[in-house]
Amino acid sequence: MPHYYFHVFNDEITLDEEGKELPDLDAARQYAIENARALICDVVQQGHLNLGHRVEITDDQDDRLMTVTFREAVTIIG
Amino acid sequence: MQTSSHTLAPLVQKLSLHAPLHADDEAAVLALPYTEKQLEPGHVVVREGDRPTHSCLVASGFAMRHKTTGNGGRQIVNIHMAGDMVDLQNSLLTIADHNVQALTAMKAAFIPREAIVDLAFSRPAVGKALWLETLIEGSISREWIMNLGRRQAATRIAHLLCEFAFRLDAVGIGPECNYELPMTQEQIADATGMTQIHANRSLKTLETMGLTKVSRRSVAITDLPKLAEFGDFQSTYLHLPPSRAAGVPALSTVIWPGRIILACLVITQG
Repeated sequence: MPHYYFHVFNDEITLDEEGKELPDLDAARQYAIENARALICDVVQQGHLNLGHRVEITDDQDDRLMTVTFREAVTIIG
Repeated sequence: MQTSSHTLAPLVQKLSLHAPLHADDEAAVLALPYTEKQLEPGHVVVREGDRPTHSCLVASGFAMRHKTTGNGGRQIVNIHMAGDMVDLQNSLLTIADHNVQALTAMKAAFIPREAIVDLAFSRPAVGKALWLETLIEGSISREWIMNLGRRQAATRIAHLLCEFAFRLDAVGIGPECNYELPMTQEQIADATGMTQIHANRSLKTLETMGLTKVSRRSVAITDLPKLAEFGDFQSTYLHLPPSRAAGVPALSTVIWPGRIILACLVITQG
């Protein structure tokens, strides 16, 4: 299975050196969304949220494959 | 008696933590029958639902205990280190209620459950020491529930790192510093009830605060007293003997006299 890395760009840049093996990029995107939601929960509890913050997915070659913003990770209504 | 090189010596050391064992008791522990095995990282020692015939001592290396939800989510419920009996409850309970797995390469001693029960009941001092171990393990579990239920993400990880520092110190591993505790981000996440990326981000928070130093696949505590303060960590629940439980500031002076910044706990992926 390919190895994907998930770098977080929110109040800090947190590079992922460990990564995770997932079947394909669709699975990586879903994984990024689930993790973005967890990150969102954390900052919302602290009373703020920037929907432009993002998780970037790269491959073994450090090539950027996809960006998932916090905005994409949740459905916002109201 | 040449206890130090004996495979069961870490068990004697652990059981002597609260009250020194009489020489006869010590000899009886060392005389327990056992089978020694070298386990690879990830080796499953006990599966939930098993009916174990032996209890497992960690002679060296690390083990973890975990449970799995119906949809496959894993929660690590404890980490064990040299001297710990990882499944002492299996000496009396008939069915394993969780999984035990080697976290690192691990030297394990498998002791027949009957032998442990016989020893505990024939030698009260040993029985009391084993009983204490299970009580303290319960206390650690209560603290983990507290940690998971009521502390914020970065605080949870800070608390976990502090616990390891104290537990390693208690069995005589910590003072050497440069202690390696191989846990991946994913395992840290599974021990603290987070997602992997969230755990990584939380480790970053600790680094930004100057409490830990993160390099490639490693974390080193740079300021234990401050990490303990941030992690809401009080060592009381570990029930360390008085000489080991003098509090966080005292621990730092015991371990690192005159030294300003030192890696005391290193987490690597091995």
